[in-house]
Amino acid sequence: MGKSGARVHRFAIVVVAVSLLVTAALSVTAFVVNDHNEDRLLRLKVAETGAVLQAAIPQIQTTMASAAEFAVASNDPAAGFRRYIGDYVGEKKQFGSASLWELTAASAPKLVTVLGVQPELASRPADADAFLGQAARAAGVRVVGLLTKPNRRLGYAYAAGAAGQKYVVYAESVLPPDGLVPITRGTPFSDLRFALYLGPNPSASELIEANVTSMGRRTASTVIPFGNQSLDLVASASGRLGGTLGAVLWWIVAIAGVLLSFAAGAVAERLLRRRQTAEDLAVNVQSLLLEQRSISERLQQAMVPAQPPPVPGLNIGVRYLPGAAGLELGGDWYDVIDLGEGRTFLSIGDVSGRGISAGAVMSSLRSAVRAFVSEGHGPADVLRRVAGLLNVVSDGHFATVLLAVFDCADNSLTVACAGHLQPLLITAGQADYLKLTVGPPVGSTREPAAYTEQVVQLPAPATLLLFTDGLVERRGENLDDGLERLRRAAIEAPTEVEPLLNFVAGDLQESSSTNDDTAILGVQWA
Amino acid sequence: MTTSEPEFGDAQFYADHARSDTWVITVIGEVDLGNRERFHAVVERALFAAPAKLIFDLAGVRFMDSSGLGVLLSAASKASSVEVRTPSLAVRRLIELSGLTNVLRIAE
Repeated sequence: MGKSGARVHRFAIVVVAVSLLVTAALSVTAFVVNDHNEDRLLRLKVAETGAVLQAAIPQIQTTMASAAEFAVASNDPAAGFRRYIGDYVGEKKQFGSASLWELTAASAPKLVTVLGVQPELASRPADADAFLGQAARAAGVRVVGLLTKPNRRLGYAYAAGAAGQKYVVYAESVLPPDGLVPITRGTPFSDLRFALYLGPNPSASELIEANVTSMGRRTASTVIPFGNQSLDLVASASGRLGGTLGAVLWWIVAIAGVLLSFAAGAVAERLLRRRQTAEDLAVNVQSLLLEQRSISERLQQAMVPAQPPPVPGLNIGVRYLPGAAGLELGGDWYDVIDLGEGRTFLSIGDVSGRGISAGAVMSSLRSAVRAFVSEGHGPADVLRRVAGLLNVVSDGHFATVLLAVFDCADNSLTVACAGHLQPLLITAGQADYLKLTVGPPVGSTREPAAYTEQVVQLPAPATLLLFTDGLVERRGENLDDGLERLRRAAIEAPTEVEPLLNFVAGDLQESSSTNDDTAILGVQWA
Repeated sequence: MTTSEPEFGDAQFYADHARSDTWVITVIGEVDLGNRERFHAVVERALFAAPAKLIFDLAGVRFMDSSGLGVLLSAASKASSVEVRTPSLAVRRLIELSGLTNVLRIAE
């Protein structure tokens, strides 16, 4: 049917391509926005966590400072120290070990007392001297660094006292053996993977603790001052900080967009094919209409010959004008039968309705009239006989028929009329309708009607115009107006039959507003 | 050669029965081949009630061709009594010129 049977229309492909491009752009945008959002949220989260950590550091410092001051202020420094710091030392407490050292200018640092585990520092007098000496000279907490034997610990020192005799508090926090701490819910760390390093360089050897062994793709870090050192917090999100929707939105956009793109392409293709089909059909319909019209016209011509038989002494012209559509058979006919001896039988009729059935009724009526005429019946007699052949109730059609015999010998017209419009008689400069008695149309009544036969004497030379209602019937006026228009046209028209018919037929086509067919029979005698 | 759409008129058809034995069919507009089937259907429905009298009110008919006339004639053949009430001039002249004054009785 279509010229492009299986081929996809270019427009549909363009629709799909454009939709996919838009989808890709939207998807990328959604991804980038989410990515930036996650970055931003992670930075905020890490900064927040860093702040929490930072707030916790003074607690260590305060505890150690207070313990040192207690030692200094007490008569028995060891007792004062132990009394104060005892609460903070032990398993699962802040410090795994706490010790008090006395530094005098003269001697090496002397271990005064120890709570918890014996500090490693105690077995290394050289290191103790160096580190505690540094601590004594500095203010605030001094971080000794990561200790790995026998377990992982973080050591700090804090000094108090006068220049000559200082007490240094040394404490160690026990770190998880492998550096891993459990993830506890509800803390600032709960939705973060984090690693806390001592010093500014995050390396495995400097790891204080972490809650995972590896970071995610996206990390952020913050540095927290811690005594003389610093802590480096590196973290990545364990989940999606911006929520799941933000993270999967670009997938949703991509999948939905791809589906919609192909759906749009399919719809476009379907519409294009339908249009193609409709256009093809329109062409087919047009050609079928033309074909039907030509068939109708040929049938009509076969049923109503365009050329009347030549009759001696008469000029006869005929016209058959199809209605506006011209697609269907009409029910109009004319007929001329030469009876011999100067007598001519004229027949004109109009079957109501259109189409094949009207055409068939017309054809059979016309033939029936011919048959009865050939048997020698006169106009009224023929009408009576054909009237029994048609019934409006059973056939759906009725017919107006006018039958006449014109005798050239005395210009007399013997005529009978079944509901048909009166013929127009045209003489020099004048035109008038005959005033015949009109019976009901053929097939219009329950019982076949009786028809009267009238004989009318006509002048010579003259022209008699027999026609069907299509010639005078117009919307918006009554038949009298149309009849009067035809009468005036006939007066103005040329007298010769053919030009006369051309004139009234042309006049008809200008004013036509109905779809009715029209048959015209013009008979002229001298 | 061109083909043009046929022009058809527009009309409204109403069927009423004030009394069960009298139906009145009112037609307003133009009756032609385009709406004869509708007209016919309305008339058939009225005839189905087998009214003693069928009245056509055709005062509002501006145009009627032989298709419309056929519906009137068909009704006149089937119904026991048909009357055309106050027809417009177009309808009156159609009835008169078609020699149907005895078939379609005109009531003023």
